[in-house]
Amino acid sequence: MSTTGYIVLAWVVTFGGIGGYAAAVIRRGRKLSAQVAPERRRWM
Amino acid sequence: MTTVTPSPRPSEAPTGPRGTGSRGTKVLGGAALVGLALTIVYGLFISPPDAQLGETIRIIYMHVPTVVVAYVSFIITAVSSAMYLWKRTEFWDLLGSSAAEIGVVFFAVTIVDGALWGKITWGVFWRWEPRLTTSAVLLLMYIGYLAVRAIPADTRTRATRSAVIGLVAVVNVPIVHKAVDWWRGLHQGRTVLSTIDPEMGGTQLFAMYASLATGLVVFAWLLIHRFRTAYLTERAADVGLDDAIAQRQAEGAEK
Repeated sequence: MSTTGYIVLAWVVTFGGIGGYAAAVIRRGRKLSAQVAPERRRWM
Repeated sequence: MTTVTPSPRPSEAPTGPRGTGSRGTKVLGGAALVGLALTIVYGLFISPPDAQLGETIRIIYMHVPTVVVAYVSFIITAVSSAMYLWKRTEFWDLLGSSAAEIGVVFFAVTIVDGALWGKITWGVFWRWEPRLTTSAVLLLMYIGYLAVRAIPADTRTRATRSAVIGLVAVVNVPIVHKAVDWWRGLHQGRTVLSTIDPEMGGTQLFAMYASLATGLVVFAWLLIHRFRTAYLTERAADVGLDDAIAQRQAEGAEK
């Protein structure tokens, strides 16, 4: 693989890894918030 | 005697704001998107190749912010662990575990980015040299932290166990950071918490600071969402417990 290929791969890994994790967190939060009444979502 | 009423099923749950977002997270999210756009434009297109690192500096624009966020995460986990052992409140337990999980994700990305940089520069993805070896140990320690949290236990026991690990694991952070000074290895000198390459200037320096600032904004945004998700997980578990108690009470009343 060329130098440019490795550089692009590093950016894809960074954005893909962190973006994928962020999407999973948001999706899980939405799913859970449907199970908990609004008055119990006070975040302390 | 108190009576526990069954919690509403998801389909009949009272309507309210969905998810873990708020005005604050929307502001942070917007700032992160602007920062990401600047980082991409300057990091990939405007910034010139470095005199020593060449085009590989574009990997450093990803590698440095992710490791800074990972260090910050692990330090927050340690402080939260100490606070939990002192105050014994759910807030510190959830904050510490949320930060640890984010730290693991960012540190894993750091290691992969470093391996790709190493392949270009050294010709190999991995060498068992001091910085890389201590980094692998650090990652494994925090994966262990998360694994311990997954062991079934009551919340207090789980929180105490993980708080102790959170305090022990953070000792490895300065070791990883100073490994390039203490032992001779292949890895280049410190960039984080050192002066960023003094020969770096203009658009290179801007790209580096833009990616660093963006990484920290993304971290703040993620930490808030992750903490709230952890909080919701606990409340959802309470709902399940309430339902079980209500069911037992109803069974008792029928007899």
